[in-house]
Amino acid sequence: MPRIESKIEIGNCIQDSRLAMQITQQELADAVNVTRATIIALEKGSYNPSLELAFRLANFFNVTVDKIFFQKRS
Amino acid sequence: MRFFAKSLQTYLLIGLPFVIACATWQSFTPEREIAESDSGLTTFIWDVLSWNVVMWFGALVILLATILFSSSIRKEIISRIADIKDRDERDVQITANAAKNSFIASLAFMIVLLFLSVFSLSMSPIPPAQQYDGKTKQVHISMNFRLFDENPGKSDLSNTGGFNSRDFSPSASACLLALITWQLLSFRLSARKESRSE
Repeated sequence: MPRIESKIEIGNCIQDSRLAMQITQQELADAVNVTRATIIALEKGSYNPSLELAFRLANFFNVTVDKIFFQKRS
Repeated sequence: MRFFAKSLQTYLLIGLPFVIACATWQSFTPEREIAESDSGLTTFIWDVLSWNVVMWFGALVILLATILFSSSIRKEIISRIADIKDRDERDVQITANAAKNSFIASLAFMIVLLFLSVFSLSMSPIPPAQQYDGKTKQVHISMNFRLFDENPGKSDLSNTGGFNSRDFSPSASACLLALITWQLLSFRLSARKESRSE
């Protein structure tokens, strides 16, 4: 049986997507019903969202979840 | 129920300065002097302030009982006191981790305090007549757990038919043991409730 890595690092392109839409962090936070502090933490990569929030973000940017979030290769 | 608790909180906040004013006034002027004052206005103000103290104390007791028995009101009031934020999933996660760490640290601290309050260590010289094998000192380790504080003399009120709750105050060890038991049971029940609600 293949062994799953215990710690998976996840990256995202939320900041790039937000800047492409020319909206502020607060506007994005209001749109997906979280605080601005959470958007900052997401963009910095210091917080991994729940599946629900990941899907809300993907729906907001009109893309699939795997276009926003990806596994970082070490 | 929420409106009732909110009204109590508002009254407790608004009434507090008047309670402090009453206590401050009494610390400078004896109560008897105020009550026997010639000025009707002074005695009227004193009566109002005194009744406010009684009602304020009663409201505080009711609010504390509400906090103890109503989980929704307890959550609301204690969250406000402890500044617990619940705005989104990240706040919930932060609160959960902080609460877990705080619970573990508090429990460890209480266990240490219980140990210190129950066990005692003393060293004393052995009387010359009882010394043997060249040993001159002895170490005693004793364990002493009491449910209630020792009262060498009960309060004066008990002899006059009065009552003072301090005559039946639980000991520090009993309080700590009760708190530790409460913390553990409360955590286990909450965890089970959480896992069932998923």
